[in-house]
Formats: sequence, structure tokens, C-alpha cells
Amino acid sequence: MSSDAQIPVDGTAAVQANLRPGFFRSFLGVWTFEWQSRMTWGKLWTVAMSIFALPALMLLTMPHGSVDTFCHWAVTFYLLLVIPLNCLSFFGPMIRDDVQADTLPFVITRPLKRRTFYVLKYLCVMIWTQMVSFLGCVLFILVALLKGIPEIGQLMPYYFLAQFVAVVAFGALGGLMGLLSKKYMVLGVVYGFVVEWGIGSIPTNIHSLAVSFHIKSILANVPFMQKEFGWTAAAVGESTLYAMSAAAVFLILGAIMFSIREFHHAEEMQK
Amino acid sequence: MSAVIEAKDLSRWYGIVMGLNNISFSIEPGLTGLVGPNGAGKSTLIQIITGQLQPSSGDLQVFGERPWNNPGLLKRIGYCPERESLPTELRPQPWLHGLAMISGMSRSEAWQKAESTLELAGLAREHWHKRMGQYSKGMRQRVKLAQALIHDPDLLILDEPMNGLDPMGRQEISNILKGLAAQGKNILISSHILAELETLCRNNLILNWGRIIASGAKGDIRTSVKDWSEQLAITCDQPEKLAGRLFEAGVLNGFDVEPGSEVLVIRVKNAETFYEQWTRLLLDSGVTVYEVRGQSRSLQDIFEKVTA
Repeated sequence: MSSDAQIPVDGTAAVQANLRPGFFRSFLGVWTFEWQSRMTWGKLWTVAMSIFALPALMLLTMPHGSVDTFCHWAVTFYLLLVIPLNCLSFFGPMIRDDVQADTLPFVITRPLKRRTFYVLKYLCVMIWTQMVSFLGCVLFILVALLKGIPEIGQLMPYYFLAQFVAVVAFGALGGLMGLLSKKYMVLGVVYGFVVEWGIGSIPTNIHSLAVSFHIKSILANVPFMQKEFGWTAAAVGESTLYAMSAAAVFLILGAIMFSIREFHHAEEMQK
Repeated sequence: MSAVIEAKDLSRWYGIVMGLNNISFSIEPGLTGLVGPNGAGKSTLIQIITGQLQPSSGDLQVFGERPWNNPGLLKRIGYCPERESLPTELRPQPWLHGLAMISGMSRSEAWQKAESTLELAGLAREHWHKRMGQYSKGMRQRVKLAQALIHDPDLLILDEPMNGLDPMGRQEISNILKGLAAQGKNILISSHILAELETLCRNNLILNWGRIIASGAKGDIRTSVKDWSEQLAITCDQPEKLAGRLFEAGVLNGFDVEPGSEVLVIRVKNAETFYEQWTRLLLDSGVTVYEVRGQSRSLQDIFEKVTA
């Protein structure tokens, strides 16, 4: 082929790109990666194990009709410990993994504001985590029905709402922790001890800073939850708004940090 | 002709390490080579051009705009990074499809472009269904090139695009790049394979230790380099005698004569002075010259000279 050769296919020459970057199109683009990258047998197997293991264990060990055991498995353990830890492990590496794999430049050199990319990435991981957590909650409810837990129908809407709120808020926190340090799990656990457990237990208004306090307030609208744990009920809308506001703060901080930082593959992994 | 990329007093530090040291240059439309040894500052420069890094001081503009956090400009830039990292668990089509949508294409358009650019980059269809983690180095290079081309950018930045390709692959990619340049695309290529840059690029930018040590067309670089010797091969009946006469006249940096050969290779000190005196010196020597041939020296020679 001579030096004046034209491009040897019709494709690119024929199809002129009509570029109109926007939030929805970019979301679909990022979602394509997220969805495809999670659809591997290894990853699906791990997720399936994490969804089924706890309800299965509860089914095998919980005495029939034991409200107390159900509450401690499904609420204290799953909703207030497993979901926040899952959020840390899902959202913490959402940017870090791309930096580590050195695939971030393929996206940040495209016509998309960095802060928008961060929010899109968060939304995609959030949708996936909501799906996984929702399935987990459904299985807990099924086990509760099988074990004859009374008033479970009354708990269901509050339980699913609390799960949704927990993923939104703890996910945003996990994303921020992932940007702050490669030891985001440790950082998250420290945050959990100090803010969620420590500050959240102080009997003054300062406990409103803990997301878990608002999750408990939502669940406390169910009488047997209030009786079991002694939590104070609050208006569902108000608690949800507080938790969502915390999520917004975490998300905005993460987006700002991602927008102003430069990412160097080798250096980044040392932080 | 307005510059595609223009830098003025551009510097970039990494802590106390200097990545780019107060450089100013201008890159005209067309194919331009970026040459330099490891650590010369090529990747830093490319990362500033593609908006991944910010300058520590000075200014760099692409199409008259600063690239950092500038989506409007990034729409016009396609970037093929040096590293071979690709999302290993993805297949090339969905990946390109996603990138095309992020660039602003509709779903159907993105799908069509993903196929056409993979074809353009020469990735055989039988490999499209494989996850990219299974790809060879050459196949990865082709996918990387495809993602850089997918949104029809006006400026392509290619960091070592020939790495890992076999000679045929290199030829194919060279042809694609020449084709794109013929269509009016601007291309900046960084490469260690200087022979390829030489055939591809009319202009080159040579970097070393964060500084520009030469720039422009190969001929301009050659004349701008201090102590650069023009090299001539002279076929004559008495090469030793001619060499002696020219050396005495002080117009040579050096010469080579192979025993028993009629070819004298000379390296001239200053081309202008040499050609002024050449006819007189030749007549004085009484040597019969059969042929004088200029030996154009490669970009590699120039590069070695300027980075020495």
C-alpha cells in the first residue's frame, strides 16, 4: 500500500460519528462495562455464595418462631454489619481497581467531566449492590416465613427501605474511603466504630450523624422491632432524607476529590 | 497554518523530580513523531495533552484550549496509551460500545462504530468473542488503537502504538495512520522504533531529560544539531589522496577508506564551507571522481547524536 493509501475499510470512513455526550448515554456506556465485567462465572459464584450463605445458615440454626434470633440475624448482623461491609468492598475499589488495572485513562480522556464519571460509576455499582442486597433480604424474609416469624408482612416494606437506604449511604461512604486510601476497609471499619457505633449511641442529637441511627429509626416503625431493640421510631420520610443527605455529602466529597486529583498508576498503588 | 498543539514555558514536576523542564514548542497539523529515551518526558507530555495531568507551570493548548477537565476538547482527541492494560474480563465489542456511548454516540451508532473500528484496526473477527485477558500483545494494540479511533477524533495521540506488533502488523498500522493523515487527521506518535517514525512522520520532536533538544522536519533537525556531519560517499581512482587533501584543507570531521576500495566516505564539518571549496580542492588534488553520493543519515543517527 502506498503512503497515500486510504483507510482500508469502508466502516470508519462511511460512519461519521455524531457525538452528543450526555448523562444518560454515558450512564449506559459505564453500565455496559460494569455489567459485563461482573458477568464472569467466578464473580457470579462469589456473589451467589454471599447471598445464600447467611439465610441458609439462619434456616439451619434458627428455632421456629424465634423473633429474637431473626432480629439479630436479619437486622443487627445483615443490615447493620454485612451490608455496610459489602458496600465497602464493592464501592471502595470502584475507582481504585481501574487505576490499579491502568484502564482509567481510557475513560477520563473522553468527553465526560470527571465528577460525572464518578457519579455514574457510583450509580452503576449501586444498582448492582442493590440487586445483590435485595436478593439477600428476600431470602431472609422467606426464611422468616418458613420459620413462622409473626408480623413479618408488617416488617417487609420497612426492611426493604432500610436496605435501600443503607446501600445508598454506605456505598457513597465506601467510594469516598476507596479514594482516600488503599486500606479503605480498615478506614471504613474505623469510621464505623467511631461514627456509626460510637456517635450513633450517644443519647443526644449528635447521633443523627450516624447513618445507622436513621436505619434503626425506619425499622423502629414496626412495633416488634421497637420492642426487641428499644429503638425510637421517627418519620420514615425524615429518616430517609437524613440518610440520603449523608450519602449526598459523601458522594459530593468523592466527586470533588476525583475531579481535582491526578492519577499515576504506579504511585497510586502505594497510597 | 495554525498549530494543533502549542506549549509555552511548560514545566511539570513530580515532587522534586522534573518531568518537563520549561519547554516551548508548536506542533503543526499532520503526522508528528515524539522521540526520546525512557524518562525523557514523552509520557508526561502526552498525559498533559490528553488532560490527565496539569502543568506545574506554563501553558499547553490543544486546538487553542487547555485540556484539563475540558470535555468539549476531549471530544476531539483520541488517545492510545502505552501500557497494554485492557479490562481483561470484557470482550472488545461491548467495551468499545461502552466507550463510544461515553463519547456521546447513540446505542446503535456506537455498536456500528465498534464493529467498523475493530475491522479498521485489523482485529480478526474470530477473536471478537474472546475476553481481552486472552489477547496477545499485538491484538491488544489493535483494540487500543480501535478505541482511540472510535469517535473520529481530529487529533490522535498514540503512545508506542507499534509495540508488540509483527512486521506485517506494523506495516498495516502504518498504512492506517497514513490513511488517516491523508484524511486530514492530526497524529502525534511516540515511539522507540525510530525507523518507523522516520517513514511516517515529516516532523519530529526530540525530548531528553524533560527538555526539547531538537524539533522540526528531519532536515531542519539535522542542520540545527551542533557538530552534525553531512556524510558523502565519493567513488574515485585515488581515495587516500583525496582524503588527505580534504583533511589538510580542514573541511572534514573524519573519513573512512576501505583498503582496496575506490569508495571514500567523508563527514564534512560545515556543508556550506565544504561546497564552496569542493571544486577547487578536487581540481588541485588531480583525483578523478566517478560518483558523489549523499548519505542521508537516519533519525536514529540524529537521535543518538542529540541525546549523547
